[in-house]
Amino acid sequence: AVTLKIATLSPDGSYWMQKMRAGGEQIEKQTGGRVSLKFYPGGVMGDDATVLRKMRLHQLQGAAVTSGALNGVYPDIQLYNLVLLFRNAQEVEYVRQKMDAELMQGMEQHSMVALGFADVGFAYMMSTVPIQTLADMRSQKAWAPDDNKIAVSALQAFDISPIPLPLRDVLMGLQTGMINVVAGSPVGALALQWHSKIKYVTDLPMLYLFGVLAIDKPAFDEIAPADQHIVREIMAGVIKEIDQHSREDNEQAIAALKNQGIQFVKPTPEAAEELRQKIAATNSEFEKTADLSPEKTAKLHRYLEEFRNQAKP
Amino acid sequence: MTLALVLLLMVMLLLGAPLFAVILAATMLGFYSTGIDFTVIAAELYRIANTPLLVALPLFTLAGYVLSECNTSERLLRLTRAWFGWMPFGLAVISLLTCAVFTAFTGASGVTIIALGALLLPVLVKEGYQAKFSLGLVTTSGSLGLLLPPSVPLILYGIIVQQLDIGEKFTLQQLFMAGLLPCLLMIVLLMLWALWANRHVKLDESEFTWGEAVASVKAIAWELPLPLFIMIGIFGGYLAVSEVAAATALYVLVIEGFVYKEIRLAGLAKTVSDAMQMLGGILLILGVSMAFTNYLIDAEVPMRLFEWVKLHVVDKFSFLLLLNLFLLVLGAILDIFSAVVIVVPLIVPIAVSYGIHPIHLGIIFLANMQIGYLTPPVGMNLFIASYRFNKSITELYQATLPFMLILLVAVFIITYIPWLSLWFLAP
Amino acid sequence: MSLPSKLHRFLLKAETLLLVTLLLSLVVIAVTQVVMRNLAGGGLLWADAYTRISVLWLAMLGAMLGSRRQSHLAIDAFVRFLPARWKNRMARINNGLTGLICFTAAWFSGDFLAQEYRYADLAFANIPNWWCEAIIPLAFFVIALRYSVAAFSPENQTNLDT
Ligand code: NA
Ligand code: NA
Repeated sequence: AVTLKIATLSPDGSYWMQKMRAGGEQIEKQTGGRVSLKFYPGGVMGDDATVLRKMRLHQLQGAAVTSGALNGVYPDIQLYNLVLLFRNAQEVEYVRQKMDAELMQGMEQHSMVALGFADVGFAYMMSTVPIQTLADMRSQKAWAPDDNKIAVSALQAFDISPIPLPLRDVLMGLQTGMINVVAGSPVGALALQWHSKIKYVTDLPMLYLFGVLAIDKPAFDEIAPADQHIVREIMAGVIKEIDQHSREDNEQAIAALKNQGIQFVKPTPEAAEELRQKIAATNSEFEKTADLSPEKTAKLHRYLEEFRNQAKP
Repeated sequence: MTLALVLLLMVMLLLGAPLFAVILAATMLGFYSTGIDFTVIAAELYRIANTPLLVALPLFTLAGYVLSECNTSERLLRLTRAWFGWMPFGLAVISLLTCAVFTAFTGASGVTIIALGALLLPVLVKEGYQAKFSLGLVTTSGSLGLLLPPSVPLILYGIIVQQLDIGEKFTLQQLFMAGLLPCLLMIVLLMLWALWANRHVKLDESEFTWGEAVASVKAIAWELPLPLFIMIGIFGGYLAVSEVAAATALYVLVIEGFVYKEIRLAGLAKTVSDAMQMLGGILLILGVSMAFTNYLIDAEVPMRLFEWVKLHVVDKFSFLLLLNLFLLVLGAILDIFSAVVIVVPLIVPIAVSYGIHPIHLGIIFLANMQIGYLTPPVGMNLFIASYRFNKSITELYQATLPFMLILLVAVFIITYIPWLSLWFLAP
Repeated sequence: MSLPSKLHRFLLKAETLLLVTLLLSLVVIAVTQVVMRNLAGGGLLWADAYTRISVLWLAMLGAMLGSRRQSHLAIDAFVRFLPARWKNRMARINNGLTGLICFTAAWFSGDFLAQEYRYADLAFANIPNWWCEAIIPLAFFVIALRYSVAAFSPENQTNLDT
């Protein structure tokens, strides 16, 4: 029998964990106990970097982590993480339909089996002052997660001073005015209580976030091929459900934020275009320095264009 | 074989082997028995470098050591005598309150004992309080503000519960409100104990005179702004906690070196090396404890313990009783942050099904964990006080025992009178 | 003075010097961060990582220093009642076992370091992670050495109550 130990930051009892545990039970049943999944939720095994380290040291065989954490394993996983790349959920869906399989294959070539990608949602700019244009952004003080190069270089491109702070000081920073801009998903903003301090959300998807359920390939290969198929099938189903649920969750969170009296301010098409132009250089610089495959990048942009042309009447 | 090794470890521990080495060996034994590679030990130790909360520790340690090398405590004594000398037990009361506030600010990372305790202890003793009582007081006070905002474990609890799918919703502000009365209860009980324990002691009492009051302030003028400066720094939003610590350290070095001229460059190396030996001793134990906790988690020990608790529950009352017992055991072996992330998701759904409000549960949980700071084998307050005051762990057990019992009484009151934590909710 | 003992003294000095320098750098960088944020807006993006990692280094160096005289925390509840001769014997056995445990920890931390070296990811700026982690095997090795030497030296310097 093979036991796969899987760690994640998602707390026990959350929707993610409920579904994953249910999937684990199903796998155990269908493989006749030859494969079992053991979960370590709530970050008890450490943050994403520590969890991946423990996978390399063979204590863990799997992890559900944010895509960014895997950049050291497989750079192309950051392909969807370009700032202002997607304009809405439909674009994401179209591109992911075309490209997810390819990225999963890429992961597998880098010795990781990706059982699925799950939507975490769009990160939005949330602030105590309304931000609609590039000019509004100038000299605001934004929290920058210090290990996130994409966020930092994007802020710098927008002339916002990135203020490095540990995550736990962000709420206090907002309260005291040390920072007045944060970026995150609506669900995250509610969970971290940011909603009690911010007044405006810039209604423009800044960055697409997603999570990956990844298993160490050598460990996965110890499973008999027929059972491997069962594991892949069931977990793909589970992740799909999570993916779907996350979208609804974020929509509810947006409604909740609006209920709290937080204003969603939408940049005009011209203002949004100005921002996109401003970030273009940073994005193409990132594509180079982050080692993204030029072929895949080109494909991504082609799909996006294709979709946008279809969408136009 | 394993049993024999476990016994050997127990014997080693009791016969005075270094704590870190015993925990390290226990970790290796656990890893060996579950087939975890020993390299994971280093990965766990490296997590020390991943804990932003710890950054304030070396800095406050430095500031605390420098202040205690100088005559700050004499100046502080003069000040409290001049202003509060007429008040019976004024100093004990003030010490308790200051420590509680300071702990809340610094996230209960042990900084209170290092920075404040070391100044207060000599003052308490000189004022006439018993040495053992004073030692117990400052050691206990090091975790007294755990229930006050902006205590980090309290915030962590709130964030975790919010992500669980349970019926009752609450805000962080409500959680902060909930901690006020229970914390006050602890302080009041400890004050009563202070009065009782020192009822036969002749404390120095002095008349209040304006002349001495002003002179005492003048003498300490440069150090007196420090607490204010720390509070404004954190609450005014100019600084993060680690930065307050750095600014404090720098300020202390400058005033003690150039204004009071009580510390010299040659002496500084010795002070730094003393301070960092303590930091190293404590953090090494913390690091290897994290590795041992990793074994416990991998082997799902806390979950099994909890299954056992669940098995023996018949009603709300016995659930609460067993919960307290369970949390006390947990507090004895885990550090508070691991305890929160591992155990909270386990117990919240069940507690809610017994009709316990999640806010009330959070307060019970942290009140129990506060006692964990004083219980062996992993009791951070004991370790820190042992280094800081150069007292053996045994002496500290004895000194803190009455305080621990009082906190235990407080925990039971908090547990069985939910009103203390929930008074502000509409019925 | 012989060359080895000169070298030893030099190493002891270097150990302390590194400790003092690190701690002062921690103060200076954190204060610079505040000044930059409030005067210039922004801050050093690597400062947070630097300060967190230097806490690990300070801790491990401090632990090394603490092993010079075997002054790590221990429970003395029972040993204190032993007669002096037995106390000394006990201390030497404890030191020997501690040395052994730390050598094991040093060995496996070394293995950890080698794996991290091969993985080669960055901690901050252009500093690879394994540089930051190197203090762990090093400290365990030095602690092991010091406890082992104490186990074999005739008079014991363990100071529980001094
Ligand atoms: Na404890
Ligand atoms: Na504890």
